Amino acid sequence: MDMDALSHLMGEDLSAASYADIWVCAPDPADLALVGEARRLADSLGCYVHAVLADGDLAERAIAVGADRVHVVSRPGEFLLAQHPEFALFPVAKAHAAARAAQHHRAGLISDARFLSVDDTTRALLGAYPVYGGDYLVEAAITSPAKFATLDPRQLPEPYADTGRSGEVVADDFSAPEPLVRNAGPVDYTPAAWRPLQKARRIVAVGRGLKDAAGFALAQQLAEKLGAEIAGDRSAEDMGWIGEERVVGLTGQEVGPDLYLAFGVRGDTLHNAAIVRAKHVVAVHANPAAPLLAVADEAVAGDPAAVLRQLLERLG
Amino acid sequence: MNIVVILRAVKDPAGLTVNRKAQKVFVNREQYLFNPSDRNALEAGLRLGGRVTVVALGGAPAEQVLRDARAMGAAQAIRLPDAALQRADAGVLTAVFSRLLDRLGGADLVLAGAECLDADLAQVAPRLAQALQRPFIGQAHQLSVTEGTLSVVAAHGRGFRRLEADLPAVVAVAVDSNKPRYAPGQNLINIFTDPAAVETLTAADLELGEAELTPVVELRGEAFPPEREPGKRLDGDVVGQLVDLIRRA
Ligand SMILES: Cc1cc2nc3c(=O)[nH]c(=O)nc-3n(C[C@H](O)[C@H](O)[C@@H](O)COP(=O)(O)OP(=O)(O)OC[C@H]3O[C@@H](n4cnc5c(N)ncnc54)[C@H](O)[C@@H]3O)c2cc1C
Ligand SMILES: Nc1ncnc2c1ncn2[C@@H]1O[C@H](COP(=O)(O)O)[C@@H](O)[C@H]1O
Repeated sequence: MDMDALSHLMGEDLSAASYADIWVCAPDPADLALVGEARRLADSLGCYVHAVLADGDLAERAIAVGADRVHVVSRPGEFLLAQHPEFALFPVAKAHAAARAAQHHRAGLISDARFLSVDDTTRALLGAYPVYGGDYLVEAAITSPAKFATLDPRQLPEPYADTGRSGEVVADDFSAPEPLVRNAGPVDYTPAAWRPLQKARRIVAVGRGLKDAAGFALAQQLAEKLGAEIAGDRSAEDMGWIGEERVVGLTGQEVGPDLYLAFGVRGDTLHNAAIVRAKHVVAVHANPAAPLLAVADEAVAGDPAAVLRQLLERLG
Repeated sequence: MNIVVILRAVKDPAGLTVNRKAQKVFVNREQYLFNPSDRNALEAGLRLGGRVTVVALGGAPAEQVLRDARAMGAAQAIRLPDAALQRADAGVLTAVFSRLLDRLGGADLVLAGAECLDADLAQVAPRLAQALQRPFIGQAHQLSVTEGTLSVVAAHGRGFRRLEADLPAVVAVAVDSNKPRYAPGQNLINIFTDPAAVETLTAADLELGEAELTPVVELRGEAFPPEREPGKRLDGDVVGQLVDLIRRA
């Protein structure tokens, strides 16, 4: 019997000595980037990396990117309540499960953490996270015996996969308790004050430069593929492509996504001022003098519809 | 039905200037706002009917928020003025609110905002649910209660779904999910001239110990993302470069 199960039988032991290793909650394939991050931290600490997966097919890849032990369970977040992680990493999509597990272990939690590291002497977990929508970051140190962070897998580098790495898939005897919340299925609902762009991490913006409905349809396909929200400038509203709630501009919505991809948007002052919080702006416009091209991080002077068509092909 | 709504007076970003070159955040005006999603949480609580108690931490800004809430219709307001709680992390706040709930004799429903303007950590409500061993529902847009069962329309991915749980429960209410009412002018006058409109309780009253009040998250300073570099024109295989960019962002 391992120490974890033993201490659990003897009742909750929240002392530092009972907490060990880095545990990663990774229900989605993209979350394996967190396993790579855990590996980086573990190499400097000299401890094991446990990957907790919902899908057994990902086990081999989890080991290749750095897991020493793989646990495959129906509800990874719930499983982590019953372990004793010294460090636990959750994807931001599982923020609630992370908060609940952190509370269970009396752990500090840094949400949406960047630049994680561990203080060698105190073993405090150090990280920074964005405040006021990313205007700046606050650096925090967690000093509890168990230390938690949520991470956005898209902010992390592609993990290095070594198919020669060895690791073990552990057979856990774990049955998740009945959830306290019942899911009664999807509902068709539109909030009264609907602002779909407000929290969007990715936005595909369209403008008159896309020319016609066929061009707009390509942009919609790209948005679908990227899990992005569709938006546009006033001209896109005039074309009947988008509603008022999706118009980007100082007189419409101000946005701050991680990625703003604009096709055929000319970019006047009101529009460009409303995207200053966007972390990365890419613009494609046929007119090399379109103001947005000067503002964008990456600009392409070319036919937006043609670029979209090729982009969709390449993304597969 | 007893409903407790947790409110926060949050520093107004309009009073701050972030200067990346100077690597500093300047506080031009120290001003506070009723955290927007907390106002939605209060509105949701008032619409459900029942008795609504509002709680907040801090000094004058918390007092202001609580008086606004009373004028909107909350029956009782409690302020925790301890200066030490200004450094509270999410775990300490959870201890404070769960002890306060005990003291109030429990609540059928605890409501909080789903996000804060400053550090949007989304921790207090789910932590509180865990501490109380109650169901938690986040990003709630519409709430109804029938015979002790809570039914919530909650945002899920890019759509919505219906979630159900037995009361008592903890719910975090989404910003913009409803249109908060204005307080009638006469209520505002009455509440703002009533010295007893807001009660105060201290951490000592709640018999919270040193350990429960000690944060485990220390804030060590600010960091600034690099200035955006001037845009660059792509040429050559632009589509290939865009694919790389999208995969990385
Ligand atoms: C810049 C900054 C960085 C911080 N970093 C951390 C950190 O890394 N880890 C950490 O544990 N704490 C941190 N704190 C402390 C943090 O403010 C509190 O832990 C708390 O506000 C976070 O609650 P939350 O995660 O639920 O916040 P949010 O998700 O932002 O708030 C959700 C809801 O919880 C309720 N609520 C939250 N805080 C309060 C409060 N103080 N009074 C009344 N109601 C409240 C409100 O209803 C609110 O709408 C930080 C504070 C600041 C100002
Ligand atoms: N309230 C403010 N908002 C933005 N920038 C400021 C503010 N006050 C000073 N600065 C700038 O910050 C830099 C350092 O200022 P100081 O900290 O006063 O030495 C200088 O470039 C100032 O112009």
